[in-house]
Amino acid sequence: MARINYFYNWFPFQDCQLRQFSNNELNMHLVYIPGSLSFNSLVVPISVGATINHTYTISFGLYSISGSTLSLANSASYASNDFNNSFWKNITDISATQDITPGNWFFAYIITESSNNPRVNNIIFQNATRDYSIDVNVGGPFVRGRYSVTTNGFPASIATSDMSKIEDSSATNPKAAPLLIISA
Amino acid sequence: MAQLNFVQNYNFHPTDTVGVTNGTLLFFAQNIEDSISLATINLLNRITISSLANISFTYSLGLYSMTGNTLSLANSVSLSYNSNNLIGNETINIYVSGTATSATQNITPGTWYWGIVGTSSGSVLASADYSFLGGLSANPQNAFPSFFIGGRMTDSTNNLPSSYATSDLDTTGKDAMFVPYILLSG
Repeated sequence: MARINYFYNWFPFQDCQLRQFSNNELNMHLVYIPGSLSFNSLVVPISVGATINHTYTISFGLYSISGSTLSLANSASYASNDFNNSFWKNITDISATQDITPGNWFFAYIITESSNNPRVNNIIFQNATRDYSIDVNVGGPFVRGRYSVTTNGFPASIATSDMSKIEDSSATNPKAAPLLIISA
Repeated sequence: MAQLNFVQNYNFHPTDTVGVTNGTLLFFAQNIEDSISLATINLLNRITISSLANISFTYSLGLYSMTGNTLSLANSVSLSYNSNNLIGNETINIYVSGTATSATQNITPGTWYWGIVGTSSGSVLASADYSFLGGLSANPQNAFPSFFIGGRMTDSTNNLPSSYATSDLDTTGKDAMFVPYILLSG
């Protein structure tokens, strides 16, 4: 397999909107990374409204899967108190040196905020027409969903049976994921 | 080559739809990057019900290889959905899944083709609209001008052909070139 310099979890950029994720809710989705990639930084677009400081932490987890167990391979986080700002955040504090191997991985995301006003917004792959609920869940193994308990950190391992396959169109929507870009 | 656990042709849920017509076989291509065991297959569908109390439909899904201009059936699976508790005037989005493949197969990397044909039944057939969810919002008015990536049979059929010439397929318009969302789990 060839080496790649970047990977983003969805495309194209214009087919998106801003969305808030629920506090301490771990959402996870399947990706396929097509080449070897040195995990040097994570770029996340962030938008914070209002005119007062807002304390929050964005956490990203990279999970592998073996059988019915998801295992944390790496993580990155960004803590701040921004306000009235929209920006790309380049997170270079990666928990472990890693050359990501090609194949299936799971991207996990948690946001922890000090209050509900204002709220951090992320760019997500979703517009009005994509905001539909799934009435019969995917058959077979877990591919997208939400962790069964609230948490502000990533468990080292998660049984897929503890991940809900619910793909509803509520504000806390596991089938909507923030745009995440890993770069070498 | 590595062994994958999952293959999907869209990272997230697409929103374009194309109607499913009984007896029309649609082919679409998929590049499979690494090996994957053909175990569970999911398709994403939208059903709009007007006045049915129960519905039932079945897809025959075939995995085809291609040599020259001939598609050859390598494997097949039946996927079905039944419901007898739907109310009228609703739209549902569902995964339709299947596991009973005709053969045990570890799909090798490369370009493969899916052929899919559906049949539906129910108390009032005309009151339900079945659609694949996938991609292609445009409706090109000429035949696809390059290497075969998909098309549909012009003859009606309820069965997957063991082989088929791509030159006999219609490649004009959205209905012929649509790519439904498909998810493989190994």
